[in-house]
Amino acid sequence: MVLVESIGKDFFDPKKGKICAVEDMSFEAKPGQTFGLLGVNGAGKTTILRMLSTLLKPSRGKAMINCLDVSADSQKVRESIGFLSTSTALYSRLTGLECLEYFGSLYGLDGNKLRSRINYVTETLDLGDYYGQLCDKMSTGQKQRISIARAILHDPPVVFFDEPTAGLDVVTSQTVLEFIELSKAQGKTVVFSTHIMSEAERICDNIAIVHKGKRLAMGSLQEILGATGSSTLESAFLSLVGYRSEVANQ
Amino acid sequence: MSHWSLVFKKEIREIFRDKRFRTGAFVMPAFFVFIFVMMFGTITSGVSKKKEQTFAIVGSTMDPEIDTLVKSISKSIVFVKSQDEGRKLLRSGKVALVLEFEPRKAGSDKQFQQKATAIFDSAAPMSEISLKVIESAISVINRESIIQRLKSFGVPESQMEPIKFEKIEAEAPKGLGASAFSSLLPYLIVLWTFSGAMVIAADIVAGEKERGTLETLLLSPATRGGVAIGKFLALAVVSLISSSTSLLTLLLVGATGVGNSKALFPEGINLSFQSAIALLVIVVPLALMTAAILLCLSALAKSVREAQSYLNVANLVVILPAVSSTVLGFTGLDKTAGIKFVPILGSSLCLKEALLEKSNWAGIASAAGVSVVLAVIALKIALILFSREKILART
Repeated sequence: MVLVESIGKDFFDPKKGKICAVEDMSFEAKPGQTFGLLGVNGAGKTTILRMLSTLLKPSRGKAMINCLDVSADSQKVRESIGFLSTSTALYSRLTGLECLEYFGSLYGLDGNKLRSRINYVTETLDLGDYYGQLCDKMSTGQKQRISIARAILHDPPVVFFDEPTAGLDVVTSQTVLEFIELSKAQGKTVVFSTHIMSEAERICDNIAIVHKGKRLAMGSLQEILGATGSSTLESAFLSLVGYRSEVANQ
Repeated sequence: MSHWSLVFKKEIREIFRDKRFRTGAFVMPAFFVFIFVMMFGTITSGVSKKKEQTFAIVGSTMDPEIDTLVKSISKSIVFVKSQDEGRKLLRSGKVALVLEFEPRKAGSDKQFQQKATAIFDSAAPMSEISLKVIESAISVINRESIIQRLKSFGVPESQMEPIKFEKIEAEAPKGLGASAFSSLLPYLIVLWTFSGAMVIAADIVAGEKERGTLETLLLSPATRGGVAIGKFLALAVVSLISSSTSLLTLLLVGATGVGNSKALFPEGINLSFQSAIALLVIVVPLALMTAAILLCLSALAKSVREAQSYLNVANLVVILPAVSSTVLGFTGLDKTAGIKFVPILGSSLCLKEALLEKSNWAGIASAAGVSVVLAVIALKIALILFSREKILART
C-alpha cells in the first residue's frame, strides 16, 4: 500500500532561486489497484515517483510504502518496490541474464531462489530467445521486457511505472500495459504515471490530475468526469488545466 | 555477498568487455613503452656509434701535424677556397665544421704557434659536438707539446701534472642501469596509472548518469556507499593494470632485447625481489589515490563529455610533478628532506630509486603514506557526493 500525505519537493536553481516542483500532494493506492498520475510533461509526476522510490528526499510531508517511511527507511522501501520507466536503462555490456542475476543479487536473492525467480520472469515475459544476448544487441522492445523482468524479479508488493510506454511502439506498449494489468491482478499496488489519456482510462482505478506540481483533481474516472461535466478524460483534463487560458498566455 | 562486492564484480565484468579498457590499459601502455624504448635505443646507439662528420678545411693543403689531427677525427674532408664558401656548406648542413689553419710565420715570435679557427653552427647539435671533439684534440696536442718542451728543459714528469686525476665508479649500475631512460620510466608508469583509468572513469559514474543505468542501480537496495566503493575498487584495478602493463612491457622488452633495447640496457634488466616489492608498495597506493580522485570527478560531472573535460585538467596536474621528477636530479632537490611527501612527485622519485635498485624504504613509506591519505580523503569526498541527490540526479 502507498500512502502519501502532503508531500512536496523544492529544488534550488542558482538563477531562479527556489523552484517548487511538487506542492502538497496526497493520495492513497491500495493493493490490487492501479493509481494513475496524469499530467503533461513537467507536471511533477516523475518527481513524485522519484520521492516515493527514495531517489529524491521530500522537502516536506510524509510518504509510506507498505508502512515504511520513504525518508527514514529508504533501503527497506527500495527492497519492497519495483520501478520501471523508459529512462531506467540496462547495462549494454551485460547480457539480459547477467542483468537479472546482478539485480537479483542486489535484492538479496541467491541460489535456487534466484534461479526460480529468473525462470518465472523469463517464462512470464517470454524472454527465452534473447536473454542470453548482450543488452546492447537487443531491440527497444526486448530491452523493455528485460527491464520489466528486472523491476519485478524480487516480487515487490508495490510497483511504480513512470511513463513506461514513452517512445515505444504499439506492440511493445501493449506488452507493458498487459503486464501492468497482470500486476494489478496479482494484488500488487501499482502507481502509474502517464500523459496518455487512453492508457489512464484503460488501466487506472483512481486518477490524480497533476499540473505544475499541484493536484487539480482526484478520484475514479467516473468521479472526475462527473465533477468536470465532461464526457471524456481528455476533455476533463483540458478543462482542469485551463487549456484555453494556457494557450492565451502562450 | 555485500553490495560493494556485487557492484565491483559487475563493474569488472563490464570493464573487461569494454574495448576502450583493453586499449587504454593494455595496448596503449605497452605500445607507448615499446615506442619509447625503441626511440631512446635508436638515439643511444646512434650517439655511441659517433657517425663520422664531414669537415670543411679552408685552403688546399694542411701541414702533416694538422693533417694527422683532422684525420684522427674524421676522414671525410672537403677543401674550400674561403671561409664564406665553408659557411655556405655549414648552413646547408653538408659539413659539421669549417676549420682554417693559418700557416706558421717563420722567423717571427709566432713561429711556434699556429692559429686555428673553427666556424660552427650552434643550432646544429652535430656541429657543437664536432667543435668539442676538435677542441679536445687540440688540447691534447698542446699538452703533449708542453710536456715535450718541459722535458727538454729537464723538468720531471711528476711536476708537469700537479693533480693526477682518476675516475672510479662506486658500483656497477644495477636495475635499469645508468641509462638516461631510467629517469623517464617512472614518469611513464605514473602517467599510465592515471591515463589508463581515465577512459573508464568518465564512463563509470557520469556515463551511467547519462545512460540512466545509475538510476536503475540507485533504485535497488544497494547502499550509496556500497555503490561508490565498488566503483572505486574497479577503477583502482584498472589503474593498477595499466601501470603494471607499462612496467611489464619494459621488463619484457629489456629481457628480449627487441626494439634497440640492448643499447639502453646492455646487461638486460634485472630487478631484485626487494625492488619488485618496493614498486608494488609505491604503485598500489598511487592507483588507489588515482581511482578515488577520478571517481570524485566523474561523480561531479553530469555527462561523459563534462567528465572528460575535468579529467583532462586533472591529467595536466598529474603530468607536472611526474615530469619534474625526470629533471629533479639535476637540481639536487631530489635529496631534499620532505620531497617524498609531495604527491605524485614523491612516488615518481621512489619508483626511479626502486628501478635503480636503490630503494629507500623511509622515502617509500612517506610517498605511499601520502598517496593513501589522499586516497582516503578523495574517497570520503566521493562518498559524500554519492549521498547527495543533487549530484546523482544531475542529468
